[in-house]
Amino acid sequence: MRVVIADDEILLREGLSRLLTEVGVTVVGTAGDANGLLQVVALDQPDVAIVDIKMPPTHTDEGLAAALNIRERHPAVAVLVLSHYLDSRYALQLISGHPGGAGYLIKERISDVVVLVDALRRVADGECVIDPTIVARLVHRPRRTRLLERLTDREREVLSLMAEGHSNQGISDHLVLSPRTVERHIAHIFAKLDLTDADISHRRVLAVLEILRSGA
Amino acid sequence: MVTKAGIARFIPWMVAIFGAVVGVFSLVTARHADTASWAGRQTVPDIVLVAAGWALIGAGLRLANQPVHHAAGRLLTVAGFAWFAADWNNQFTSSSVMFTAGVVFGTVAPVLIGHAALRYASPLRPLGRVAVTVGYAATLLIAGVLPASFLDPGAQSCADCAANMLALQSVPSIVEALGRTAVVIGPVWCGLMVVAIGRELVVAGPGRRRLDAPVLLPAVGYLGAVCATYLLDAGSSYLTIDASTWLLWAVQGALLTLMAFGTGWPAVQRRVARARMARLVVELAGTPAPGGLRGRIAASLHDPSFAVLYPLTGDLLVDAAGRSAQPGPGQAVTRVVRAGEAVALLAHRPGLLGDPQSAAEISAAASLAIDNERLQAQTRARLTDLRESRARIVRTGDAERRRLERDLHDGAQQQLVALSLALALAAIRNAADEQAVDRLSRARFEVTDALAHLRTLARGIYPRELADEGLSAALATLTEGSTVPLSINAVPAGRLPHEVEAAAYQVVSRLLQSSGIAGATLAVTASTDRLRIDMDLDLDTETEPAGITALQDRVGALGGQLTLQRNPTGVSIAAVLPCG
Repeated sequence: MRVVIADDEILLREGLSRLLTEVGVTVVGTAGDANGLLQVVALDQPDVAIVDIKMPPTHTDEGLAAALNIRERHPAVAVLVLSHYLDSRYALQLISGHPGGAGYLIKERISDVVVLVDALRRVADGECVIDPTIVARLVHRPRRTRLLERLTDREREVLSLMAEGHSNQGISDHLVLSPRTVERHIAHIFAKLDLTDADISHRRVLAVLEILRSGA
Repeated sequence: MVTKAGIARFIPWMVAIFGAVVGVFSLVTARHADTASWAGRQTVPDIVLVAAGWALIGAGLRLANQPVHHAAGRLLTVAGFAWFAADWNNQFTSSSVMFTAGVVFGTVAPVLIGHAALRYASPLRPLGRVAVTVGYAATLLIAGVLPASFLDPGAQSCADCAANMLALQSVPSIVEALGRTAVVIGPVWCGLMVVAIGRELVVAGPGRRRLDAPVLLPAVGYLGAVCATYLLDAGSSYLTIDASTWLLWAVQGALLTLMAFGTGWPAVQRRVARARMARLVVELAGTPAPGGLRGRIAASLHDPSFAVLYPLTGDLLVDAAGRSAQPGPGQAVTRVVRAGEAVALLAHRPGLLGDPQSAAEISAAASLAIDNERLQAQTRARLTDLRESRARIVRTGDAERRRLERDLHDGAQQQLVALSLALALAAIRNAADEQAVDRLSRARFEVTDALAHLRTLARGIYPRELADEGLSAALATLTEGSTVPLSINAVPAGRLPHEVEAAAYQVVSRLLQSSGIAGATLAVTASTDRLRIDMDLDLDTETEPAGITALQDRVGALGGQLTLQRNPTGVSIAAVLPCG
């Protein structure tokens, strides 16, 4: 797999680059800002661009804008945005246009090589990846509507995995369940949360996240 | 012993008695005269004669008492006598002294009046000086002493006439020539005086003009009438008495009387002002609202621009509301002084409070109100200062927190992530050594933990959405991380001033940390100039919401207010923040 890394902190760029090389991922280029990133992507057409959300000049969300830009201009290049922020706003902004081929991870997640490589593979395969910590926060946040109390524990697990962007196959792998059982759980969840199960595709991640974010 | 000052005190009385006597003599003379006298034998002209004369003498004596109008007063008094003298230059005057005086001083009255009017307005200016000099020369010399030296009525047709005490020789041709000259020059000095007095009226400020006009306008009219008389008699060697000149004389007398009474106008004004002051005292006994004093005095003095300013420490002036203020352009300033210290400055139309007495009266009338308003104004000014400095402190604090949050992100967090990457790399490179991998992994978890803590800390210091996206985004994010459910019913989507957004966010986030809170409902509404936060906390009735005092301080620093009300299900908080 070929990736490019964009981060304005050289220490991180280099560290991540070595780590990925060590586990067999090819780092074809690095960039320190959004413009550099877009050039490298256009030139090298990597499988995935790993983008830090904060980049010059304002250090707010230039990385996010660059990631969305890449998704627009180079549909074949997946993006994985790294962020220090736990809230779901940026994540949702990233995937609301094209959920497939985009991921949003908490920054320290990159030191967990297994998780990182898994995320890279999934976005490269056109899946969507949302950091489990963000999803867990949404699932466990206090609510008045008792929305999730209608679900069984197992159904809540399945819901979380859906929100993290996993496919049915991914969910059945994770929970060691048969695909048919997973499908049954998902049908129950959709019925209980009044969701239409029209999108079984990765678009359902948006529907699930919207449900989790709304209704305190 | 009779002192000099003692004598001086009696002089006005003596002059007054003398004036009364002269007036009576003039009247008696006029009763005997017919066409040769202006007053003649009729009642109305008689009244005009004595009214104008006495009024001028009286007004002159009164004015001479006032330091400002001392000179004008003396001139008016003399003009009063000269006015009488003009009627003595005829064959019915029995007294030689009166006749001689009539011959010499018969035409000087208009010059004295013009001179008095000019001095009443201001010290003599060049134009006025020229007019006055020419006038005195024409009337006292050319039409006075010189012809008097060559006029002997007895030697001419008038055997009954009183003797001219100055006559040296009878030369009628010289008298004739001098008289003709004087009549020709008449309109010149008259005209100059009208122009000079008119100029005084024009250059005076509105306040000055209001006070001077009752004297200057009749003087202008009078001099105009004199001028007209000279013009009608052009070619003659003396001022003839016919229907038109007589009418002009009557107008002159009426205008002089008016002018004399005009000198009393400022006193009338003061009296009226004093009466208004008296009413003010009563009105001001109840404390007027701040700024009320200005309105009351402005109304009672008919000066809408009137302002009361209070000195603060230094040269700073403030109005009743404590705002920094200055007298308007072109305004005169009168200081209200008590115990040697200016307690207030009155900014007003120039001339409105011309004499120091008025300021003293205002000071006395409004003393309590001025003190009250001054203290309030000073307190308000300090309060404004304090509020501004509080708001500045809050703003600085916010900016500082925002910077701190960024520093944590760009510095410590990045370095810790880099460290965790290094640990992960080391673990992979030492995969063979199980113990080392284990230790490195544990270290990496520690670092990840530290990062999580740092993240919470940074968010607590200043949430990044508050700066980047605004209150709505910050509150939405707050609900995600909150440990208690928060329902947001309304929140304005647009941006507000940073300090207002920060304060509103702090109120909500701090209240959510109240101990024993089970949930909260929030509505934030923005109008044109204020932001209102209504928050209902589900709380034990016993429990105090968190940090109320600190929040009240925070909201108060921006000039807002935070109030708390208990209800059966908990506590309702209402905070209003100005954002104009």
